[in-house]
Order: sequence, then structure tokens, then C-alpha cells
Amino acid sequence: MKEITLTIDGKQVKGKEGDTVLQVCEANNIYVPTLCHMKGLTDVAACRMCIVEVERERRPVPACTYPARDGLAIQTHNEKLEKYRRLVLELMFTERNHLCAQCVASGDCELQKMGYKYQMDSTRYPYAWPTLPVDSQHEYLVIDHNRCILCGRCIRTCDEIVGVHTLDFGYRGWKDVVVADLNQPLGKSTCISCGACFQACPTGAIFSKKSAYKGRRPESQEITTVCPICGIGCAIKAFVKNNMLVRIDSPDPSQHDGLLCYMGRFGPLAQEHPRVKTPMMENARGKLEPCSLTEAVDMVAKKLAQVKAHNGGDGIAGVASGQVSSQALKAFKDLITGTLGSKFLDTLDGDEYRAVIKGASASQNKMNPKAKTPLEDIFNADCIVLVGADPFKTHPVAGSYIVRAVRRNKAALIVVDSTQNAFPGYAAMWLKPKKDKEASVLNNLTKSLKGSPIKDAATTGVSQKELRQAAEALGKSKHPVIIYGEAVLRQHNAGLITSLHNLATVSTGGGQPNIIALKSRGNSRSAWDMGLASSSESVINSLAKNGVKALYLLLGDDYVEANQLPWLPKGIDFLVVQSSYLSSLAQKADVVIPSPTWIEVSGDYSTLDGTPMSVSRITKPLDGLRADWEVINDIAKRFK
Amino acid sequence: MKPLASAKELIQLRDKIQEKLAKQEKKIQVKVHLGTCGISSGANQVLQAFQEGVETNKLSDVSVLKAACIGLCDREPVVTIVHPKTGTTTYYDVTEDKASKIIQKHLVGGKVVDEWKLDTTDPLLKLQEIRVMHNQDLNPMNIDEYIARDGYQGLAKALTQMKPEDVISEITKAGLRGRGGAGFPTGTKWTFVRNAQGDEKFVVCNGDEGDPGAYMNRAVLEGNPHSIIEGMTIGAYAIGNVRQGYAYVRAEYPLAIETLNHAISQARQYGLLGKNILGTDFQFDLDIFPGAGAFVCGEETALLTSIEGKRGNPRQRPPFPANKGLFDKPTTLNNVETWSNVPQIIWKGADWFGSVGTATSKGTKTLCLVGKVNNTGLVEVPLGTPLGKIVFDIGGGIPKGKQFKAVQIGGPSGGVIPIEHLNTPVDYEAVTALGAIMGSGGLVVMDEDSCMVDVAKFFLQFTRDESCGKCTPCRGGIPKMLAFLTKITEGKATMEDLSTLSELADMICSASICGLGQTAPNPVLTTLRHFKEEYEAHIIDKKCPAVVCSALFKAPCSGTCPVGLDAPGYIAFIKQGNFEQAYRVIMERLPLPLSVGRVCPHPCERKCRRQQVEESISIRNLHRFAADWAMEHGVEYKPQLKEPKKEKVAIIGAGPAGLSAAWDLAHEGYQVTIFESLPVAGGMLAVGIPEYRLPKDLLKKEIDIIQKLGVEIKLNSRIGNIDSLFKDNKYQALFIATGAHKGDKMKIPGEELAGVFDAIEFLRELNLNKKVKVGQKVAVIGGGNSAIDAARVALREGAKEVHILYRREKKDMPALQDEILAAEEEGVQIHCLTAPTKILGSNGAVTGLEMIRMELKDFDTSGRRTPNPVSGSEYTMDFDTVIEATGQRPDTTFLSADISTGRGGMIAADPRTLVTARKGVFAGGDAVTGPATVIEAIAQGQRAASSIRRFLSGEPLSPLVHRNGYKPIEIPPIPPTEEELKERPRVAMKELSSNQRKGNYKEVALPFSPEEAQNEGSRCLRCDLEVGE
Repeated sequence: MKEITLTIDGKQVKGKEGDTVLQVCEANNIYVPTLCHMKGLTDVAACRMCIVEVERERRPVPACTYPARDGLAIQTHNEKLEKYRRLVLELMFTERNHLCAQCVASGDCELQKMGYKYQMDSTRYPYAWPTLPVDSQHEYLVIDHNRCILCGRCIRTCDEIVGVHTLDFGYRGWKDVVVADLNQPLGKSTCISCGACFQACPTGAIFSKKSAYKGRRPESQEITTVCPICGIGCAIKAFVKNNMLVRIDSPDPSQHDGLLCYMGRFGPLAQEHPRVKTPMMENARGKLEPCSLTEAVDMVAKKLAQVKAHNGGDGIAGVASGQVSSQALKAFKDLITGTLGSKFLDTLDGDEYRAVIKGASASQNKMNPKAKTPLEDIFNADCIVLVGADPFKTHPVAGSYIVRAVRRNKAALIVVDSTQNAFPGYAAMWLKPKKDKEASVLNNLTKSLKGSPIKDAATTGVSQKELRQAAEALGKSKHPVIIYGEAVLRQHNAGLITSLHNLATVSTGGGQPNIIALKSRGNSRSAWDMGLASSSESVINSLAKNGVKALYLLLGDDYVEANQLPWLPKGIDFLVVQSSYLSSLAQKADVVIPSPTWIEVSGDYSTLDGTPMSVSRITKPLDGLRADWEVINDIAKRFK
Repeated sequence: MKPLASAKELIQLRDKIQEKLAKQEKKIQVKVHLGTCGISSGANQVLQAFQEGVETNKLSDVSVLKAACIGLCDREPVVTIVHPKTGTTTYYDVTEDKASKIIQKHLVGGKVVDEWKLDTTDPLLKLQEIRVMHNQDLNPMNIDEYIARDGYQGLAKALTQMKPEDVISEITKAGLRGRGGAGFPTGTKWTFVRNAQGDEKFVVCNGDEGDPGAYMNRAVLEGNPHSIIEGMTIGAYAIGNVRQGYAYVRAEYPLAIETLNHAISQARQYGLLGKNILGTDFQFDLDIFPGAGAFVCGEETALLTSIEGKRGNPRQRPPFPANKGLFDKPTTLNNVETWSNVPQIIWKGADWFGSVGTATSKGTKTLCLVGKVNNTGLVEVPLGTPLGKIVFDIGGGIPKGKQFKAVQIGGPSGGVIPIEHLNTPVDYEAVTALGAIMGSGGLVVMDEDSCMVDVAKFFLQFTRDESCGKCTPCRGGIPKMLAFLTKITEGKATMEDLSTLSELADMICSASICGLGQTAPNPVLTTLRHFKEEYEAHIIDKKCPAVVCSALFKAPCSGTCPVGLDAPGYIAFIKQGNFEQAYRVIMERLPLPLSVGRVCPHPCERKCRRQQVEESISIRNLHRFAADWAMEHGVEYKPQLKEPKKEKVAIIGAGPAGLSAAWDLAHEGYQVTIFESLPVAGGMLAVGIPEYRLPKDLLKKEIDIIQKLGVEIKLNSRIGNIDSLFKDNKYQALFIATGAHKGDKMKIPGEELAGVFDAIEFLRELNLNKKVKVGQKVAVIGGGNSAIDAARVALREGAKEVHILYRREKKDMPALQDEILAAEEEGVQIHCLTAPTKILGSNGAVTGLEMIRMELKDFDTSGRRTPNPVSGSEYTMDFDTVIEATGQRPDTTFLSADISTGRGGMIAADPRTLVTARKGVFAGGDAVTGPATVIEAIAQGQRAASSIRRFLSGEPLSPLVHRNGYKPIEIPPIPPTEEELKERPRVAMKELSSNQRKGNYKEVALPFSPEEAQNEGSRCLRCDLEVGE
């Protein structure tokens, strides 16, 4: 980019061609006040705080949109500009009901900060005192219109960064308000609860119920780490005060990966389920009662040793959740297959792994299911085939990536789903197969792409014409990506996965196929890679058949209810559940070992695409809780 | 219709259609004008009436045709008849009944119905220059008629004979400027877009006409749609890389959308839109985008955003639409009228276009004349036409003889231009220089009944509601400005608020994102600039001079009365038959009710809301009735005096100002002495007003009542020097109310001749029963009340002929209308547009006058046209007496040096507190204000009394008059009945016939009978009972 020279406040400064005046000022450490400007968003020049004087312009111009040109002479501060800015601030303070003393954002508010800067001890303009509603129906978020300055940052964030465009302005002029959809309560709108609007809000107009009055960012400790929950691997910035989690932000929403979803932003603050606070053991009356960790570990070791003695190692089975850290997974694998000598080791989603492996191996070029398709490929894509997935529900950030690809790259989004189109308005096409005909449709699409004739289109529910259009879009594409999700994985249907891989292969013209599976648990990829799911069949579904007497469930902070494992009572004499939450499943256990949650202990994870990530501890764990792997290793030690 | 394959085919088609139409022109054509205005006035029914009439009468040589609006919007339905024998006749206000008569008389009988036809010599038509609207007499639904008038020839010429650059340079040479408001040169704009990078560009027509009171674009869209299509196509060709255009038309104009849509489809059928236009390889197509009803979408970037399918918010410029417009492509956006001008410029050439207008503002402009003007509707005038010409000649002046006040030009973004600037040429520069903008050409005329603060408030309410809300200054600032204006109109604001308001206005203009915000404060800024005194009246005096702001007055009549006389109050008692209470209500507010009831020029009646039903209430005559009744029935005034105070107050002058000050001060308990130089008290009431208007014995009775309060009046006491009054602390305060009793001289030769008087002197001498020799043939020079009085007195003194000579027109005479009529009834002859240049005489006596004819030229600052002598038009008339009634001045020789005089020799005093430079000395009445009315003099007396009381009791002076010592009488709160609200004329006062008046001074106006008074009183609407807004 060509370098340009400007004169700002009498000093010569350098900038880049294409920069705005504000960007040049920022690069040169020249302060220009802003409110509606936010890095990463389109500038709209709405608040008028950043007005500057430019030579030969009749009026002051907003620095945030004014293009910097070589030789431009600019004044950022003078009496007139400061007077105008103060007036603008006066208008903002008197337009709505800004009562700092009772505001959640007090001390953490850009408007308030600006008020101090301009010494707004009083205003000369009458307060409007509008009677505006507060929308508090949403699970996490509250919109208090009384504190809104209509900067539109939330709206642009929702639209440009998140891509759902739930928020927008409603009404006109002095009656302007931020509305969700066509003025629905936020909780009943298309809002995906990602909370990006909350982070974008410069005042307390949008705030989180989970963070309100817990503390202010400036007085909190900042911890930058990664969220391991769904496997996208979003960076987070956690704010902690006195070992209490205050809030979670995205470190930099302007970055392409600067997104969070409700799981990362609100999950750790929400605490929806009762925690397991101490180890517990079944007493004589068959009721769980607290015990010491040593007692629990002793008991587990004792019981497992008994089973191993009577039934051999294979009398024991271990099943882990793909949600736990790699350290825990490794310790667990070592315990079950090493120390205890059992061959019955699996993950909760092991069947998905087996289907993927089987499906991929059966595909045309015997694709390596472990091949890495980076998630970033989604927003570089120019054509996306989305099969059996609802990313905004399961992996919301991936949903945003898809929307971005559609909007920025004009990517053609082809939804293949027999029940729903998760991207109405964005999807270029919705191929809607009849029930269980997904594979046929994908096969037909593959054929169509190869130019082969298709005979049975009518029976699949997707016509020749639709196939042709979809094939055309895929055929033109330089960067196609195939994404499949929950609905495909849940079927454990290897054939369907083969079809997906075949399509991926054909769509890239035989090159490296871009295929992404939106797996249900964040660290499943590590678990699978570490061989935890390498059993030839589902361990959990064949406990009785295999004569397993003792079962060790490592759940960590994965909340699993008993009805998700309905086979459980059959033939199991001893059940160990290691879990953060006292779920109905944990309550069935003979011994419950408490797990810290992911924010309470550092650990290694990997993303959906296998990129390793290191997650740091945010708060200290509950009293005396130890990392899962430490406890598991303790148990193992009892056998040495 | 077949696509035209070449320019030649277009010419062939034109010739064929012209031939066909020529045949039609031999027949009778009835054109019914069917614009939105016409249709809403019933033009469709009229059309049907003509169609049926022609059919039933079997008039085979008559064709009934449809046409568009020709601008006479307030006279719709309008029908034009083109007749081979009678020529072109335009009928207005046509109804179905009238239509059948026109059919019989004109179509069948061949005779024009003169009473309903438009006068073609009317300046309304004569002074217009019809260019943009030159096709409004055609059927807009028929492209052939457009083609017959050389339609699309401009396009053909551009495509086949001109390079795109040539087209732009022709537009540039023509000097066409954007008709949407800012007046940006169209050629320059097109050049920007032509030079902008991009292989896809757009042209857009802005038809989102949203200013209140503006509808000229609608008329063009409805009446001349092809000129827009042709203009845009030429523009597309000139700019290059344009294949698509959009016409953004507001959805509130359904007929415009229908018409334009129809025109587009016809143009497509002829291949004038689409691919290979006229056989060339140029392609262009056009679609309509209906706006959704937001004013801000008239702003170019908001309009483009709206076409993109987004919320119509403006975008910050740069980037400008010329580089990044519609869908981020280079875009030209021009107004309907701008596009409509293009075809004729190309076809007839730049020189033709520039043949009217000014050097920098060429061509014509369509304007919407609305508001308080006689001819409301659409007009087209050359740019640079003086504003006064548009309002008074084309517009026909102000209805009901009201006074013109200002025009709002440019809609809510524009500003007001006041009466002082009627000579302003309406062009881009001159209008901008006055703080307004040309805008799209909406011209709202306002008369004396408009409050400028209220006007500003109205426009701000509009912009507040229409602001998109995107930027803080506009969204947040306009409501605050409005809050201040509301505060002002409620009388709650301070002068500091005014500066806070101005500061805010400046910021909004400078810092808003788009034109809406940048111009929204204009109505406030321009009214503040031109009508600051009106703001001050609201703030300081707590008065709305136009009696509009209802928080500041009880009823319009009392609100406009200088003393706030409670007319609804006494009228309510008169209606009840309780005449004594009516009298007492009057006496609460002023002494001298007999006199005021006779000679007051009753400004109250001008504001009376009964005028909206038919005529104003006879307020003054009811006042007189109550006063007369009380006097005849010996009703005694029972003052409630405060306890006597030791301070003494001197008043110089026993005129209405001095007497009313004395009255109020006596009620306060002060000892008052009035010094009067004349042998009678009453001032001008005694020596200025003739006996036949005000019998002197009545005046004397009223002054007696004042004296009964203890006021001492020393007659024949001229004060030589005011210092004498303060000697030995004789008086602690002084009020100077000496009036203006010196007549102005005209300073023409011969004024020294015997038989030359000034009117004041003439009337005074006669009123004092001195002998004045009045000749046989009398000339009175002037047009005011004194001139009329002098003329009528001269007749009574035996003159055979009395002539009033006035330099302007009769409608400009400042005298009361009734008085002028009465004088004429009595035989006074009025000569207008003439001025004396020399008084002729022989042997020291007057023999005649040399005069010169006058003609009216430019407007003066009072909004009247300035009389200018017509050279060589001198003529003479014989007279033996000449009375000059051309002005009055005060005598100020007695003043001490520390009291100065100001403009016109008036005594300098603060207009609100009447305080002079000398401590304890106050001055008021005609001596300060110049010649004014009796009621204003009384108000000045009250103001003086209020200030003197504050001064003597050590209170700070205040502009607000506060009168102690009067206990308000409760007024019966009975609203008028349905019956009373029904239309009925005002009860006329009986008068002596002109014969009965001859040679005597009997009172001319006869009083109401009690029944008449009650009857008239029952017409009162009781505006004082109105609650809330």
C-alpha cells in the first residue's frame, strides 16, 4: 500500500493509501473521540464525536469515514470541534435516561468515560425522560433502551460479524429504537444468544444477566485463553475478580475468528446444573453420601481390583466423554487399557467415529478421515454444501463463518436436509430429500457434477433441475467446502458419509477434499486420534453381551443424563462416574468423583479440525477439587 | 406500435401524428384536466358530463379529451376548450351543472361563457414562462401526442448527431442546475460520473417530493412523463456504461406512478427504451421504485440506500454517489424537473434555454404557491423573477386584504424571506444569501396571522418526525430545539435560551450527516434573523404578536388588543342583557370607553375567529354600546382605590396616554397632576378627531370621571422646561405624553401661501371652535386618517369640492376602510397615484396644485410598491385650499438636555419600560412611538403607570405591565349554542345618510339597540373558553 503524508494538528504524519483519517490518527497515536466506531465494523459516521476539520471542507467531517489523502491538512482539536463534541454528548445524555448510579455499566461505560472527559457536570438542554421499555425476557441478555445511544454497534455486530442480523433499528428519528427482528422480544427472536451485541455496547443498554453487578472490566484480572466446548476453538478473554468469573469477551471481535457463542460466553457463568462438590460413595442404605477423595479413590481401586481379580481386565469397561481434556483422556486410556488391562475402552460418541472411519474408507479415493480441513476454509469458501447440520444451534460460530462466506465471497450455499433449511435467506438452494434419501441425493449430485446420467431423481425428492443448478454452482466453485453435522453423525450411517466424501472428492476435482464434520463434543477429535474409540463396536451397547461388571464413566464437565444411557443397570455391579455435575446419571453411581469444569483447570484440547489448543485455568476450582487426570492417575497408582 | 428503427422513422411518425392531430384541431376539442388535484375536485365527473353531453347532443365535431394539471390547482376542475372559432378558452371551477351549460352555450351555441372563463390577461398567466410544463395540456397517457410536439427528437439528435461528450457540454453550456434544491450544475455532475471508474453505472430520477406544500414534481410526473424518460435516456447516453435507470417516486403519488409506468411501457413499445434504441447500439431501460413514505429518502444517499432494499438511511459522503452510488456503482441522481429540462435543451439548444433566467441561474423554475395567497397552485417563472412579482402579481396578493408577512421557500429545509425582501430575485444565489434555499420550489406565503416562532416550530416538528435518527445532532438536537421553541411559545423562555438554541442550531447544521439535519435548523435560523423581535415579544413581553401561541392569550381579540381588553367577557354580559356588568368589565381595563368605543381602529376584529364562519364580531360597536348604555342609565363607576401614597407624579399631556397613566396611578393611590398646554383635555381625541366621529361632550364626561378620582388637570399650562417640575422635589416622577401635534411639511414650493394648512393644525383650530377659512375647492394630500378627517371636515365647513390626492393606490391607504368609504359617500373625490410637486398661487394665496403622476415600482420595506414619478406627466388642478396630511411629529422643545430624541424627532425611551435617560422621567404615547392609535396610547399610559409605580416603590422595572387595584369580574363561562354558531351576517351599525350629514357635525354612526347588541353579542365564539390545544 502506498504511503501518504498528512498534516494533522500541524504535525506531519504518515498513513497508508485507503486508510480513513481515523485510522491514520490511531496509527500515529493521535486521540480522536469515538463512540459509534468499533474496530471490525463498517463505519457509519453516526455519533459525530470524531468530527475533524479538513482544509477546504465546508463542514467538519467524521474522521471515521473520511478518506485520508496525501497532503491533507486536518485539525482534530480546536475550540469549535470541542464545543460541537460537548454538545453532541449533551444531546446523548439528555436523550434517554442515563442514570449512572444505578447502571450495570457504571465505571465500565464509554459514554460515561466521555462524559468525564468533557466534564459534563450539567446539561443545558432539557432531559427528554422518555418512558422506554426494558426487554428482559432473554435467557442471558437484557436490552434497556433507556441507556441506548443508538450508535448501532450492536446492530452492525449482529449483522456484519455474527451474520444473523437479528437486531436493527426500528421506527424513525427521535423514536428510533434497537429492535430484534420485527420488534419481537429478544428472547423470542432469531437471536442466537451469542452475546456479541453485549460486548459491542458502549453503555449499559445491552447487558448480561450473568455478569450484571459482578464487577467491572477495568478492575478485573484478564485471562486470555480458548474455549474448548464445541471444538471451533474460539479465543476468549475472561475477566476474573476475587476468583469470581465476571464476564467473558472475545479478545478482538474485529478478527475473523473473533466470535463467541452462548456456550463460550455465557456457559461458564450460567451454572445451570448442580455441581458435584465432594466425592461421594453409596452407603449401606444405597444412598450417596460425601466422603474424602482418598476414600473414594481407595474404594474405586478396591472394587476394580476385585472385578479384575474375578473377571479379568475385560470385566471392566471405561467410557469417556469427548468433552474432557487430552490429559484426562490419556490418563483414562492408560488406566483402562494399561493398568486394568481391559479392551473395553470407548467414547460416548464412538459410534460416530466408527461410521466416519468406515464411510471415509469406503469412499472413492479412500480418504483419510483424519485429514485436516481447517475451519477457516469455511469463510474462504465460494460454495458450501451443508448436510444435516444446524450450525447456529450446535456450533454457532461455524454458522457465522458460513454467513460470512455467503455475504463476503458471495458463496453459493447449498443446503441438503430433509427436515429444515438452517439458513433461510442465505441458502442459494435447499435440496430437500425425502426421508432417508440424503445419500441418494448426494450421489446424484456427484453424478450430476461428473456429467453422468441420473435416473431416479424423482424418487429422492430432488429434481433433475435442482441437481443441475447445484452441480453448476459446485462446478464453478474454486473453494468448495462440504459440511455435515449432528443429523448425519447421529445416524451412524457410514453410507451417507461415503456419499459425502465422494461428493467432496468430485467437487474439488480430485484434489484435497474439503470436508468438515461438526462433531458433537469439543475434544472428540483428540479422543478419536488417541484411539479411545478404536473398539470395533460400541462398548456401551454391548456391556451385558461382553459380561462387563464394572463401568467407569469419565464425563468431566459434559452433562449427561441417565436417560441418554438407558441400558445402564443391566449387569453392572460397580459404576464409577467422574463428573462435574450431579446429573441423574451420576446419582446412579456407586462412587462419584467430582470433576472441575474446564475453566477451573488448565488442559490440552484440540479443535474439530485437529489443531491443538491449550486452555488455561480461569478460576480456581471448587474447594479441594483436583484435575481429572490427577485423580485417575491416583487410582492407577493403587495398582502399582 | 412498432419499434422505431431510426431517427428518420421517428420524424416520419411525428409528421404522421401531426397530420392526424391537425385534422382534429379543425374540430372542437374539450380537454378536461385530470391531475390529482383535478380528480380530487371532481374532474372525472366533469369529464363524464362532457362525454354524455356531447353524445346526447350528437355533437359529432366535438372530441372530449384528457389532459394533465396546468397548475390552477385551487380552481379545479379546469376544462380547456379549443374551438376553431372562439379560440382557446379555459374554464375553472367547473361542475357537472356548469358543464351542461358550457355544452349548450359554447359547444352548441358557439358563445364563450365569459363569467366562468379564465381571464387570459391576468398576470397569473401572462407573467409565466411555460417550459417544463409545456405539455400539460396533452394526454399524458398517449405517447403520440408527446411525439407530435417533437418529443424524443432531443434523444434522436443526441444518439445520431452528438457524441456523449457533446451532450454533456451542451448541458454545461446551457447552465442547467439541479432543480431539487442545491442547484448543483448538472453538466458538472454528469462529467463526474462519466469520468468515474466503472463498467456499470446508473441514472436515477428523484421523484420523492416530500416537502409540505410542494407538488410541482407530481404535476410533471403526471403530465409530462415522457420528458423524464427522454431526459434520463439522454443522460444515460451522455454518461456512458449506463444500462439501467430508476425513477424513485413516492408511493403517495399513485397517479404519477401509474402514468409514468404507462409512459415507460409505451416508450418500450416504440423501442425508445430497451436495446438498440432508434436503431443504434445504445441500450437503456428504466424502472420505477416506489418510495415508502420517508421524507429523508429525498436525500440522495438515503434514496439510493432505499433502492438497494435497505432502511433508507443517508450515508456519509464522501464517497459521493458519482463514484460510489447505487450498489456502489457510479450514479447520477437528478430531480424530476432537472431531467425534464434535458430533452428541450438538446433539441432547442443551450442558447434557447439560457434566453430566460439570470446569468448564473438560467431557465425557468416551477414553483408551488401555497398558503395565504389568492392564486394557489403551480406556476413556472424564469429564474430571477422578483419574489414580490410572484406573490402579488402572479399570486394575486394576500386574501382578505391581510398584510403579507413572509414566504417560506424551500420547505422545511428552507427559510423565511420577510416583507423587506420582496424585490429579491428568486434564483439560487439570492435566496441562499438570505439564509433560505431554493429547495424544490415550494413557496408558502404567510400573512400577518402567522407567528414566526410557531412557523419555525411547525417545520421543526416535521423534521423531527422525518429525521432518520442515524446521527446524534439531527436525531437528538431537533427535539431539543423544538423544546426550546415550545418554551418560547409558552412564554417560559429566557433570552439565554435563545442563545443556547442558536448554538445548538449551529452545531446541527455543521455536524449532521446529511442535508436533512444540516438544513433542519434553517426555519429557526432565518426567523431568528428576520423576526428576532417576534421571538423577543414572546420571551420578554410574554406576547405572541400574531396571536397564534395560545398559551399567551385568552382569546385572539383580547390577545391582540394593546390593553388586553376582555372582549369575550363584556360581550358575554351584553349577550345576557347584563349591560352594566359589561361596562364594568371594560372599565377594569381602560378609562375613556365612550371614546375608544367610537374611534378605536379595532385590531381585535382583524383577529376575530368568527371570520372563519363569516365576518368578525362587531367588537368595537358592542364596546360602544355598553359604554353608551352605562352613561345613559347613570351607571356610576365605583373605583377601588388603594390607600393614598405621599408621592406625587406629574404628567405632561392630557391625551389618552396621559389620562390612562393618571387613571392607573390614581387607583394606586398616587397624587397625579396633568399639565396640558391646550385649553381642553383629551389630546388628539379632543382636537384631532372631528365631532361627527366623537361628540366632545361625551369625551368631557369621561374625563370628568378621571378627575373624580382626584387627578388634577391643569389646562393651558405649557411646561417650558421639565426641570421646573423637579424643583424642591415637587414631583417624584414625571410622565411625558405630549403626543405628536406638529404637522410635517412636504417641502415643496408654495407651502407658505395663504390657504395652505397642515391637517393637524386645521382640525385642531376647528375643534377649538376657531375660525378657519375653508375655500370652495379643497385639496387634501395624504392617505391616512387625518387626511380623511380633514377632507370630511372641509366639506362640512362649506367646501364645494374636496379632493384627496394620494401617491399610491387606494388599497395602500393607511386610513380605516370604513372612513374612506364614508368620505366617498359624502362626496370626497380620491385621486390615486399622484403627488403634488408645487403649490401654485397668486397674490400670496393658493390657486392650484401642480402634480405629477406616479407609478408603482419595486417593493419597499413595508411590502408596498414604491411610487415613482412618471417624468413628463405633470399636470395642474385649481384649488383655493390645500391641506397637507402627510405626517406628524412631536414638539420636543421643552425637554432637558439629558433626554434625547431619536428617529423622526421622537423622544427616546425604552419601548418596554418607557424609562428615559433621566431618572424618574418616563415618556410614552405618540411622542415616543410616533403617530399611533388611541388604544396604543392608552396602553402606553398603563405601561408608564406600571413603571412609575415600580420606580416609586423601589421595585426593579419590568417589561410586563402590572396593574393593581382592579378586581377581576368573573365572566359567565357559557359557550355558544349550536344555533348561535350558524352562519349569519354581522349586525350592521346604522348611520346618518349622507344627506343628513351635510353641513353638520352630528355623530354619523348610530348606536345599536339593546336587541341588536344582544343579537350581535350572541355571535361570539367565546374563544376564551377554549381549553388546551
